[in-house]
Amino acid sequence: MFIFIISCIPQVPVEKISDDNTETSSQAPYALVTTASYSDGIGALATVDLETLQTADNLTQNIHSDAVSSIVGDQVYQLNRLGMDSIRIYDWGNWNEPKVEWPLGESSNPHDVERCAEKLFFSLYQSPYLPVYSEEGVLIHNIDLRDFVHLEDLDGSPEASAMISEGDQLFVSLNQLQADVDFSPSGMGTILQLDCETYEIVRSWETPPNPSLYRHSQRSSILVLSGSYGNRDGAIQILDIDTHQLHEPSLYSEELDSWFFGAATSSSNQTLLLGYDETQFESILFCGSLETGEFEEIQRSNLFFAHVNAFENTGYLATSEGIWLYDIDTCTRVDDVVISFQLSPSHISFYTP
Amino acid sequence: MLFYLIFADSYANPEEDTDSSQEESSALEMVVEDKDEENPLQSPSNMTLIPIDRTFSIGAGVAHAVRRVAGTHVTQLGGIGDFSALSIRGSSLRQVQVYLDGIPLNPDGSSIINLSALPLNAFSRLEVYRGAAPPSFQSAAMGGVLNLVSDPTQSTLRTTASYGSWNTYKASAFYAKSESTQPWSFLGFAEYFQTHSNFLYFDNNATLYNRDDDSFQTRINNDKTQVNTLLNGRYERGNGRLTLLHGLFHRKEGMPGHIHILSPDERLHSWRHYTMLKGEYHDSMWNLQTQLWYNQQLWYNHTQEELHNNGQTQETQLGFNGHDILGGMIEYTSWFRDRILFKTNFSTRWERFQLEDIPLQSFPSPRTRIQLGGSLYANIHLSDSIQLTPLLQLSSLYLRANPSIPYQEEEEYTRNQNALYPTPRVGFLWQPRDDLSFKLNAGQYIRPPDMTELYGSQRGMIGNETLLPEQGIQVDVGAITRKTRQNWHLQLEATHFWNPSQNRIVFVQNSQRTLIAQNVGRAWVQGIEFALSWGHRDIFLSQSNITHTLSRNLNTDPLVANKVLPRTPAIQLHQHTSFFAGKKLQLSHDWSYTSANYWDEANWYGSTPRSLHNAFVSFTLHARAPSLELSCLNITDNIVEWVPRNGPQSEDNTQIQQAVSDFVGFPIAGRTWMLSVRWSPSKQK
Repeated sequence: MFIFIISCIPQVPVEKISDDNTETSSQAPYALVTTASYSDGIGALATVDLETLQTADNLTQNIHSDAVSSIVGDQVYQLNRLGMDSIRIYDWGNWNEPKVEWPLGESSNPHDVERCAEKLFFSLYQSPYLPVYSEEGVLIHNIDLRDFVHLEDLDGSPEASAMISEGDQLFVSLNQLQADVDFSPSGMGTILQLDCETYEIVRSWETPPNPSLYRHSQRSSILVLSGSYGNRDGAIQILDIDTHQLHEPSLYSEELDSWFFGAATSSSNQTLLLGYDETQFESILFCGSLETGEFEEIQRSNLFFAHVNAFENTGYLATSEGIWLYDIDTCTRVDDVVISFQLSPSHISFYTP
Repeated sequence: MLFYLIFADSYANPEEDTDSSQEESSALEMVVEDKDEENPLQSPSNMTLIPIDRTFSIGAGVAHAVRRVAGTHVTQLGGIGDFSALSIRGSSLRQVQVYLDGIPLNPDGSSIINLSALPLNAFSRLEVYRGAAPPSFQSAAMGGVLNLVSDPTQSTLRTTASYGSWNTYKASAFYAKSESTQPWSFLGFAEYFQTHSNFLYFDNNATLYNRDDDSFQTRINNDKTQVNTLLNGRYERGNGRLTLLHGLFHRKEGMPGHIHILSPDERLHSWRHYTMLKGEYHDSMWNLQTQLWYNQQLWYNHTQEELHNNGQTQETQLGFNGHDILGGMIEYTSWFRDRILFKTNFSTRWERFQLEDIPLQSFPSPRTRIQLGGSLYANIHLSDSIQLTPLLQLSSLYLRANPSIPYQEEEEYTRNQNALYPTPRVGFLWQPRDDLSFKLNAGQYIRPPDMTELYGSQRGMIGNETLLPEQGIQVDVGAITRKTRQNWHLQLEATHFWNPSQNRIVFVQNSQRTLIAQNVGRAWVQGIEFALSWGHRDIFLSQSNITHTLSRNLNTDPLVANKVLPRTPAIQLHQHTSFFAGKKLQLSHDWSYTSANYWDEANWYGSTPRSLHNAFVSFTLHARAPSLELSCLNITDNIVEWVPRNGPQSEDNTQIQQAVSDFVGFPIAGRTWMLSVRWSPSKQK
């Protein structure tokens, strides 16, 4: 009987669909796009030729839905989180298999990776340490951040998040939230400056709660965004790397009645600012100048805006519909262009061959 | 097709079925009850009755039992004692309503019922309704109904004790007393279950490409300690009968979490109390039944920390989740000229949901909802061989949310939250011969959004008060035949079903930290079920079922358009085989085959085809001696499978290993042994 039964079972493999993705190879600048369906827990890598806006979608379909990528030279550093806490390093264009992959620790929740002094620094949201690895995945050092855990913060982690390296110096934002109290602030936030050679903390700055760092078009400064979700306690500030001065806020979140969670500056020093109105469940894009502190709302939608980044004077906004383009200098959307992907874009970085 | 017909699904052993139903039929039931509902040859409903008999191992659970029914799919998050839930005909887990002796455990799909929390050995039978269920359930469940039925009308004492892999202990005692000279009958049941469930699973260390760090790890914080009790008493006098039932369930368990987001400190304590008082009175042509029940479910979230590194732990409560249901039903049944059976019933239900989060200091007022429903049903015997069963069912839900929400002033809110749901359906049966029936059912089904979907929870779920109920239509057509000759029996059933649905509710991302429930569109599921049961009363029993299911997501989003619905395998097969050497020796084997299926709506990730084999051998020296049983689950230790590493659209054909799972991050357990003893001084049923 069993033989009969076995003989009638169809062998149905997991569906294989042929794709016509083309590998990216021309000399044009590219956007590397992390796409995701958060509710399905799936994600993929895609590229956009910034001259033709042609896409190569689903280059690899096994990254996490809460992933980020950054590019240094020809190396793509792709972080997975939430159950796949790992780093994959791809050579640009070789998407079948990363040249190296290693785990970053169960439930470590990696937020960012920066290359500094020929080493890789990882911010782990759920760890009080900032690990330093070689490019081959060998753990070299763990920088102890326990001194920056507030007394009332019982989760034991200062929530190291965004990082930016300049020369052999690394700037790290500490969100300092209480993970077990719905990620509410445990106090003010902190920015650290680390020496990538000695691993010493050179200096620190106190900021409003939940700070994040963004590259400023002026190389000697960093844009600091702060503010906790649901509160109007944030601001935008400039951290001058040369003078080690954290400037007074250019803008407070309560002025725009929005929670800030993304920013991008153009080469002309105009800034796109990503906001979220949690009372209306609406995403907002502001545009303006940090020098004058004057910003205007240029886009509001009930679509989710996940990330914004700028290449030269064009802003690339990752929405749940696709990528929308903006002329940052004029604060206008470019011809209602929508760069579509099978999944919603969630993170954008740029590659120049 | 021939293969399907030969090797199809299981029906209960018809002879045992007949015997037990005869034993169970009291004088009262013989008078007016619509007994057609329990005989698949005489009822349009697609009901499978599973007697809980010796073809089940002592350690078996409800999940093992329902797999014997065509059209079912069980999602399991681990091994023995771990969470498992039932889907019928491609439904979601919430679209199956579970009843315990008629008490609704998740009315209107308000929650997913964990089958491992239900003690199989307390019940005399399970009833699985695929699609249309009798009006007494007041159910319009889109998937179907699972009803667990206890039976005090027997006299028996039965005790069991088991020990097995993963430090699993199970002990139960069942006592029932019923004498024809006494108006009282009584059933008492108690079961204790404990397991560490620390099985091995495959771990890729969160690196898909780096196979150097792959290993097998031990599941931690996955222990369970569970107690179930059930008391069922009946009093019959004259034309009346009173039934009082009370059950208690308590479970302490670790919440192990996703294998790469382990939660070694999270604990859950859960309680369920259920009480029912049922009164019945009959005359020669009518029957009046009233029922009042109360069902309370409580969940307490804890975190644990070790004290002074000495192995002792201390638990701290983090949250509380409560769900109270108070309901009642009155049903009147009567015959009209021996040709038409009328049923009319009215039901009402009051529910209260409470959710507290201690770290967030969130203690919102309880939310309540009230249901009023009624139905008119007729079983019209158009001739000796043809029945028509129209049902008009109406249900009204009044949702009262947190008082802080001004629900009275919002027109849209009021419209959506105070809704009237008509769910008419009709069944047709043609029985040209005593051993052959043809069936047709069609109807409308509905699942209103539950409180979490409407109002969210504190942690990351935003409510959506404008949600519409999930709605669906079910149509099925089938045939069943049964042959019995001396000690041999054969029963074969084939059914085709088609279930289009709309306004399916799924959670989608709303911001970086939140999910929101939304109605996302339409889908259909259709399939064909075959069930075959045959055997010799004292020698051999074979129960087979196979279901071929097709599903399509009709959402216009290109990502999911025309994709297969998650966790809806195209082929689901179950084969149960038992060999008996009188009462002394028994060998049973169960084989479940599940074809490839997807875990996500985009059909990117999924599991490959898999077979799981379970078996047990039971030995009894003589009738009054204890019987000894050795059972093994997942005999082949199937815990690893191979899948494409770069997703479905990649040209890269390289495959990688992953843990065998029904739900990503929750692997199933490997080979599990159990040694059990059963002792029943009275004659075994």
